Amino acid sequence: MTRNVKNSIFKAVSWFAVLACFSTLIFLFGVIFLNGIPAMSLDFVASRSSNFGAEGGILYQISGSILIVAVAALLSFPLAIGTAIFKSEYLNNKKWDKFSDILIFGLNGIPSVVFGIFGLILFVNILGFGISWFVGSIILGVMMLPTITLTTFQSLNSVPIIYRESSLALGLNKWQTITKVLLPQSYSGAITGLFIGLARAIGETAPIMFIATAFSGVDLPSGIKEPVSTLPTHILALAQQATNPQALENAWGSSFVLILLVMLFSTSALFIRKRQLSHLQL
Amino acid sequence: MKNTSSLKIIHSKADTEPEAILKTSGFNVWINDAHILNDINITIPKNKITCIVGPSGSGKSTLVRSFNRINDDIAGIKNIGKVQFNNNDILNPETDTALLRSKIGMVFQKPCVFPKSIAANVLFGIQYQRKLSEIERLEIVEENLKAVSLWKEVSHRLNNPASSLSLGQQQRLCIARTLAVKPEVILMDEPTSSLDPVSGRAVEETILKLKEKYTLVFVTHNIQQAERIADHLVFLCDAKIIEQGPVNKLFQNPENSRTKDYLNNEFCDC
Repeated sequence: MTRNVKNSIFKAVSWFAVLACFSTLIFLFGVIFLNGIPAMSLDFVASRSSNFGAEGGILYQISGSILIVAVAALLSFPLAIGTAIFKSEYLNNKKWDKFSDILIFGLNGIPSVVFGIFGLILFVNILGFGISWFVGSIILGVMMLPTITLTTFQSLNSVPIIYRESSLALGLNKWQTITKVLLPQSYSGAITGLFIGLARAIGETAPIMFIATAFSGVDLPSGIKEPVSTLPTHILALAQQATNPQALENAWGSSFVLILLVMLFSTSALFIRKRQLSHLQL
Repeated sequence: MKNTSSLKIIHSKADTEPEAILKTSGFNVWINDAHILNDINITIPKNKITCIVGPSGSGKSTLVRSFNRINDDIAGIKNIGKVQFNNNDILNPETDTALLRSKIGMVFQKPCVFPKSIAANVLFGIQYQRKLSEIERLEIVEENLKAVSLWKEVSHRLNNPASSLSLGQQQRLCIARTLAVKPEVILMDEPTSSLDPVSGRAVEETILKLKEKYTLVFVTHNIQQAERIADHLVFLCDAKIIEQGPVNKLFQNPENSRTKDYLNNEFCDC
């Protein structure tokens, strides 16, 4: 085989990979868009559901989803930033650094349903929290931790050593160096991680279905010990009554709204990432 | 009669032994198992330019970086012995390194400006030492940019990003922000080696102007540069001090044949 033939084959294979990837995505989006758009109306996104979701809209599913991931982000973000700072700036023992990598990647690899069971056992059974959206936020926050930690760590770690030394040499202490020099240069990495984490968390069903959500009859929670309804769990419930065409249409509509929210988070992440890259080239 | 003779003694003492601002005795540095500096005993005279010369890997940078303890964060580093700054042992674990570094500033090989404006870079260190009024800020920016001969070039664009300056200008800006903190000693680790010859000369001229007010410790592997700017020379080879003394003595009448070889031929077999 000549080098030219190898070259062409390699090119064809990578083209095929791209096409396979994109066509799957386009097919998926296409189906959800085509089926979801007919269900869309102001009424659908702005009214409460009734008859187990087969009738009415998804107002409280949207609010529940946003509430649960927003609080998860609030809980997770400071912890993740702290972990990333510790790992990047304070941990200089190689063994412990490796160990922390194993922990973070391990946490990232735990199947989401295991988080659900863990939450059920710890918070609901042992601590007696009952079904609570706040417990759901805690569990989703834990799930977001590795993503935010790793992206923040990477952007902290990519700030060249000379910036640290220049700052320390001017008489700033370590904490000032971290807050005045390193974090401003890596905050967009942290925000990128946050949005990637949000995009993932808002679509999660398994970790919250036992501990944080109810399938019907909920509106805005009045305290932290109440369940909410969320888009993914709502879709799950609607899919179980798929023989009802109205329920099915609402399921598509909910999927469409969910996809829009995920896309909003992912494109925000992409946009911020691009801004960070152009900032570094300055 | 008695009085004049005692004056004479003091005077001659000042001539031969200028006041030492930095002093090391029995100073050793290990990084893991590598012996980077071996029994270093040197004195750095006040308000002079001391050049540390030697071949690559001789430990020049490690030595100069020990004076402001910027080496502290290197994994596996171990310091033994004494490093004194104004007769205080700076290796003492209780030393406030932030305070030490505001007294002993440092300029690095590669200019590193912060992603901020020119003025903000000058103020970067000093503004965390004490609160500055708006007028003080302007004064500090002007005074220190003038000290490095950058004022005329940048006074009309102080709010432009520092990264818009040329590398040579950036290096002078780095010196200006070090001066702003009002240190007593400025350590310079090959500050011209990443610059083109013309910018390098401009930085050199800036450095010569500074010696009236500051003590400078300058690391270079450029022997001609050391001859041009140094008052006092320290020759380091293979982790050890081979010779130290006034620059003329080392160039014209060195005690050690290896000093002569190195300063004349840039050759060292130690």
